[in-house]
Amino acid sequence: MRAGWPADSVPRRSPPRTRKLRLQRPLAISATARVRMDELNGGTTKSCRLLHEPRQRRVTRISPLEVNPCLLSPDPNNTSLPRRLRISGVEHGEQCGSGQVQPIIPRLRRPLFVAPLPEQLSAYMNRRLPPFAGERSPTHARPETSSPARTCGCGSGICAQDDAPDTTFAIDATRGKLQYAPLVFKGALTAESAAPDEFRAELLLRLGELASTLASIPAHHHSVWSSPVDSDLRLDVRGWQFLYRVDPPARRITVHRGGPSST
Amino acid sequence: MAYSVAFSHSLADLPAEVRTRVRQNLEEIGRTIESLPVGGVLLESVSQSPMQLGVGGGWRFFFKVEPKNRRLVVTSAAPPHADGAHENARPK
Repeated sequence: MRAGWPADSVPRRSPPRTRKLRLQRPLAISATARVRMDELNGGTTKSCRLLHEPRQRRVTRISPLEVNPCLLSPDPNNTSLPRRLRISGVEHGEQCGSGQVQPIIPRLRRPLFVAPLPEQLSAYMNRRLPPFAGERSPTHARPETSSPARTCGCGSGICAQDDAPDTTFAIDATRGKLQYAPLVFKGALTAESAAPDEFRAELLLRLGELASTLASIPAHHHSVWSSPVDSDLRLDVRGWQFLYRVDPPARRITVHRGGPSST
Repeated sequence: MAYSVAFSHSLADLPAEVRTRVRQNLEEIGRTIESLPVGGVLLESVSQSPMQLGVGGGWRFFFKVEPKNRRLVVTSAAPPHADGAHENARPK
């Protein structure tokens, strides 16, 4: 046998068609590959049979037969063999060619996924997230310069600011699922659109719905946007009629007139 | 079913080019109105309001939205630089 080859390399039978080829090629790994394998093993062994076995396609066992105990026990649950192996999670130890048998130390595999407990899942779903720092307002939207929106008590998530020259409403950013929704349209109520409180609250509700509907219309539909810009749109709220205009570049709905429907 | 576009009888002598442009714009508006939620505030508001549409060249058209008939009806038009005609053409 040629020097440098593994001592346990035994000539083996090859299929008839490849016999010539196999006789010409050594049944051992190259020196470079062997060095790398030794390094992977910590450099403690020069040649490890277990590493050569896949190349030789022949297992040389020098220790008594050892069987995973989980395979010897009866199977009450009719579990399949791969599943039982997975459940046992035990890997075999290695045997080296130096004649020493290393103890087989069971190593438990780390599970890929552990299902969370219901309370963990609930806590995760209800967690409070910080505001997204990278979120940008639309480029054509006006910067938010007014004071934060206050609630109007209507419970709609829309509130009015009475101290502003034009009474504006905004989606309350601190409530529920609208917390991180971008503010796309704002409403403005002029002095001429004054209405009793009961109409005013419902008007704000409807303006909020209008704002969300307008926000869903694509901005590149120029014909669609040019029409409401030129028109005075009507909005009836329980016998009161309001006229409003839409300003798409400013993302603004302005209610400029209001009064009983009879007038 | 898409919204159709109809012209009032008073607009029979409208130039063909202008009529085609108006029809195209209104068809686009109709497609958008079609996507609005039925019973929503915007559709209700649009159907109650006299709508205006400006077309290139200074033409201005007035139309109304009829969700029940699923059509847009052009009621009147104002030619460019014709303020008197504009006033006469306004819907009442």
